[in-house]
Amino acid sequence: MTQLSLRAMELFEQVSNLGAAERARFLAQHCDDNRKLQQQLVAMLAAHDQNDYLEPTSPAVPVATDSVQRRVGPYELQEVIGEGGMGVVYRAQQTEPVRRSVAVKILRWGMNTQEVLQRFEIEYRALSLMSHPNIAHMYDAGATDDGRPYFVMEYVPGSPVTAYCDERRLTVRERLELFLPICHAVEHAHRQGVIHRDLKPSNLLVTTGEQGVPKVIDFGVAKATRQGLTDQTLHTELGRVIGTLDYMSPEQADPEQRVDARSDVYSLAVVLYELLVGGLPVQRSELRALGVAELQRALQQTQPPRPSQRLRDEAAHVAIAAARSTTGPALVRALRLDLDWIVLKALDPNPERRYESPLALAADIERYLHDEPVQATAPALGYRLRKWMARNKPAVVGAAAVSVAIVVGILSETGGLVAGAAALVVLVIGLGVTTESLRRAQRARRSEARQRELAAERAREAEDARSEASRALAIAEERLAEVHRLSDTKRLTELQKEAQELWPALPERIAAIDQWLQEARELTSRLPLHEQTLAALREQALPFSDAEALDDRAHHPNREHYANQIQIRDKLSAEVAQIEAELACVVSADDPQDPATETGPHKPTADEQRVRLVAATQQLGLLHAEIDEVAATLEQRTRWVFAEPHDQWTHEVLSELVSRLRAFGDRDPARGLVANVDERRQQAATIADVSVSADPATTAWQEAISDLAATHPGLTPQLGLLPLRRDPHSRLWEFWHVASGARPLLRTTVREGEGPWIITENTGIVLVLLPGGTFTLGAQSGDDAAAAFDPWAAENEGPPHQVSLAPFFISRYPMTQGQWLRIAGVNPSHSDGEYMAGKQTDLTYPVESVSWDDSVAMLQRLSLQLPTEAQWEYAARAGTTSPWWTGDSIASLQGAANVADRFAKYNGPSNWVCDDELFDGFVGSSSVGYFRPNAWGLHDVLGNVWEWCRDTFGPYGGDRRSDDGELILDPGRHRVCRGGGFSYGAAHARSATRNANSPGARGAILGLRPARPLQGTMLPLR
Amino acid sequence: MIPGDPDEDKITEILSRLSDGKTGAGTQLYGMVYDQLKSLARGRLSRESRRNCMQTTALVHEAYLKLSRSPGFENRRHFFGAAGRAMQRVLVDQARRALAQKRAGQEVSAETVPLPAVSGIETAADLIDLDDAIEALGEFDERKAEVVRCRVFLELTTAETAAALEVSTRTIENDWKGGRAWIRAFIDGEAGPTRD
Repeated sequence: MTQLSLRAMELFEQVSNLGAAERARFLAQHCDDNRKLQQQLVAMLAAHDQNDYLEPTSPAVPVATDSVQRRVGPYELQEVIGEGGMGVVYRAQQTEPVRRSVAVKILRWGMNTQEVLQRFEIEYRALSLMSHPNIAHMYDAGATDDGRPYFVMEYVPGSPVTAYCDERRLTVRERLELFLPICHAVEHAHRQGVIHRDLKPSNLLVTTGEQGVPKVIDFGVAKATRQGLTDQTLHTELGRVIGTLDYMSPEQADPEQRVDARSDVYSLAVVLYELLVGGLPVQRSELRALGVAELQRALQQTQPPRPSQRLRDEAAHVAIAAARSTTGPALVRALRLDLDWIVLKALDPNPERRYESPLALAADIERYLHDEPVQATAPALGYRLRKWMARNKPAVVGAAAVSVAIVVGILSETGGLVAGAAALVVLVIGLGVTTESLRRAQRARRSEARQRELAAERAREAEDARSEASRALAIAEERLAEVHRLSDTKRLTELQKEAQELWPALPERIAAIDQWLQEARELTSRLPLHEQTLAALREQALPFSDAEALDDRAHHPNREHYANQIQIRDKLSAEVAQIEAELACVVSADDPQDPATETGPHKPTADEQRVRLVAATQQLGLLHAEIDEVAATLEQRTRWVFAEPHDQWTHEVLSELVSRLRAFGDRDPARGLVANVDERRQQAATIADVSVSADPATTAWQEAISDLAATHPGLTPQLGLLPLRRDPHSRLWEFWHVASGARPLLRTTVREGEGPWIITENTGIVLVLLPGGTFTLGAQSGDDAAAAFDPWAAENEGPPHQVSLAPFFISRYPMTQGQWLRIAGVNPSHSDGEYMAGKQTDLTYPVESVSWDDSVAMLQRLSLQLPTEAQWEYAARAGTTSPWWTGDSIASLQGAANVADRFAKYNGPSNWVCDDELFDGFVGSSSVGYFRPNAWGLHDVLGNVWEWCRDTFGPYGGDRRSDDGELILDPGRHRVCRGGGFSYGAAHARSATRNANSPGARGAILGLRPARPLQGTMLPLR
Repeated sequence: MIPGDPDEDKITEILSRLSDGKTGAGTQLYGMVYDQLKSLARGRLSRESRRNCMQTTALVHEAYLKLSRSPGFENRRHFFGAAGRAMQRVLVDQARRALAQKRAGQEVSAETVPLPAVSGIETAADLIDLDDAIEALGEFDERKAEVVRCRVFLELTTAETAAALEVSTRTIENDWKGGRAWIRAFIDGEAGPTRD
């Protein structure tokens, strides 16, 4: 039956459009030997031709073709003249008090009639005041007998402006001339206080008479029927809003923002764009799926292409130009410069930069038509400069105190030369004072020698002069010191910024690092000097009363830090005690689990417990030292008050500088940048030896290369990686990424070399070398007989297609918090130190709350990359083609992934949707490697946290890079993330599930898995 | 779309599972939409006349709203797939009940049986025939069945259906033409299992 019907359906599609004779021939040709098929087709064609089955007859919507004309109030409905998202428009006859043709728009069901009418009422006064030849009059509004709102307006027999222009092949000039009265009409409405809010071609009609007159219709309707766009209305209006979306201004997508005249300017500009180049500035169909917040961001960030550019990129530009009675190149020339600028200015996502009114837009168009210079200009330098400053703000301002920032700002803005000149001026002033005073002192001494009779007086004079001279000298010195301080502050900021560039720690960067270190040490060498000056200055401070001293201590900035440290210490001590207790149990039970059976989440073994115990104890020791250090500072005075404002200011600058320099030079690489860069230098200097060129690395590589010779001929040692072993389960080689942390250790309870890795807070990244190969990327839910069938697959996962990849490395685990912390110096993770459903997270949990941008920057430091989406799915599938690497059913995921499970259902937020058939014991994220790995040894590919991929998110089908399968798309907004997460059910944790996010987004369920291309020459096998 | 705050984003979850009611994987979730629509419909049906009792669009909007409050909500296709099925169930259940009552000898007023507002569906029996036919169609072409559900039970236009199911309007038009013709042939006994 199915076969027959499928065939019938297939043939139907071909035959239904044919004429009777052709149909007969077609049927005879295609189903002469199959009577049933023919019968079925004939029946289908008969039904098709009758065309009267299942057609909408909504009794609530009067059908004007009914023999009985329906009335709405005093209006006799005639024919349907339009059907849009919001309702049906009829031509109607008004019978009283006057007889005239009107248009009646009856809204669909689904709106609150009373509310609509109330809102219309408010606007009605203004609407009735409008009188403009290019505005269709709004006459009336009311409710139908069955309670739906309707609007009555002037009947305009005409077509949408875009269609009108194309049908008549109007030239660009003619189009502009037609567009001008529309601008003036909208301007008129604005002056009555009415904003249209829904300007689009179907609301801009041109009468079809001899002289086409444009008319703006539907004023007041949008306001009455929609209170701005919210998630609610966006969804309430379903498909209906879609038509409007294309012409909607960005601020209309923002419920917080006020919509004003400039919003209509934007919509007019979209129409103008369409009139000029025959297409929309931004294709928004893909935006429909976004929520309002996302939509708004997308609209605000999207810069439409210049009309001329757009036309050049348009394949159909010949037809478009023809519809404008011109040729492609001529049209491009006509648009370039002035019209491009006018349209872009009117389309600016920021209303502040648009034309302030339709009138201003019209005026510029008129200027263009008269060959006068237009107001709009190319996106100005100033604009680009502002953009640049906005982008660089964090670096510019930094964490410095405001006063310092201002000075630094001035210095860095005026540039080194001017700063130097300023310093010179200060010096010259200082020296000027000095020489002048010294000369006077000399003169005084001479007169003392000659005129002994006036000795006493002169001596006093001389004394005065001398002290004046030394005071002047002191001032000059102080000025000089001040210049030093300021330039040191600036230099410090520069060095901090420069240090960010000194990654990754590879041999070729050593020279740059040395240069940096030399300058940094020069800077820190002046710290004692600054400290002395600061101490001397503090001597001058006004005395502190006891009350002030007490208050100062109570508000000590370290107080909170101290309290936190104490809290962490207590938590750690408790943990140490607990591990010790558990260890005691394990030892007494003497029943080590067999971890070789990797079928479910394992309990920590005694080995792991011991490793954790050591780590925790070490940490506790460090913490104690830190606490003592902080406690000592709590007694120190933090505020000084000076009589002289200048001293106060100097003190602020100086104490800021001193504390920044102290931190800068801290010996702990986690805190002090100098030590950190020094460590980087060590790493850069030794990385080659550790990973490649000295034993035991050389031996390890020799072994790996010979073992891999069959599958990876030509493999060369990879700088920064050290071969660990061939995983006995996956049969794939694994490598230690040396710079990312400690060498991973194997569980010793298992046979030599066979156990899983013990992941501690210090463990570095373990990379697996995946073979190259071709696989099917994506899935489809349309055809269970076809390949890559996955009943859960969403539209964007298809069509499934073949992708070939070169061999590459990918991390066995998601990147841990410990790995991130070690390199970045901070742990951004949301779950950092928090409990979730009784579980304390630690640094072996996946790092999260890192954006795509953060991730890329971090991995660059480690000479790593994000995997491409294709690489990710290839790795996640590990050769499987089922929805999950574990199989076809949700239940198969048991023990293999941390998703929203039964445990989360009872212990997690009540509104999560959880899979009852799974139990993983976690609500939030889980320690990496807790669940069993896939066939290639990769843990947590499904569930736990979503993982960023390198690619821009877009539909499949575009070009891919040949080696790593990266999708080549126009720079898009969103980046791919994959694999599902702890708060999502199994349906999201499939190998093919695609998700996307803007590159700046951070979330507690969003992490990453590092990857790395294979360096050196090598061809993919298979 | 946004795997951000774990507390915020559940509904895509429901919806992704809704996409496949027939394999049973999403039954429970499909049930949620169904319950939603049913309770909304029940309120309406009890107090409004048949003429406007369905207000289908309003009903679906309301259900959509309730399910879409989550900011992560994005999958309209799954929603409409499920909503179409759910609305079909709501109506067909009512129709079957009415027929059963009739068979039991109770008087059933036509006014109390809500029917989709399309031509050719005049009685509860018509609706049940249509239901069987759609299911049979769904056996071999689920998308066409989905299109028919959207058009008939959700009262969406072709363009709206295209938007709802995230497929081109052209495809929807073809699906609609073919699906409807096949259903007619099926009901007339010219297609499907009765003649095979």
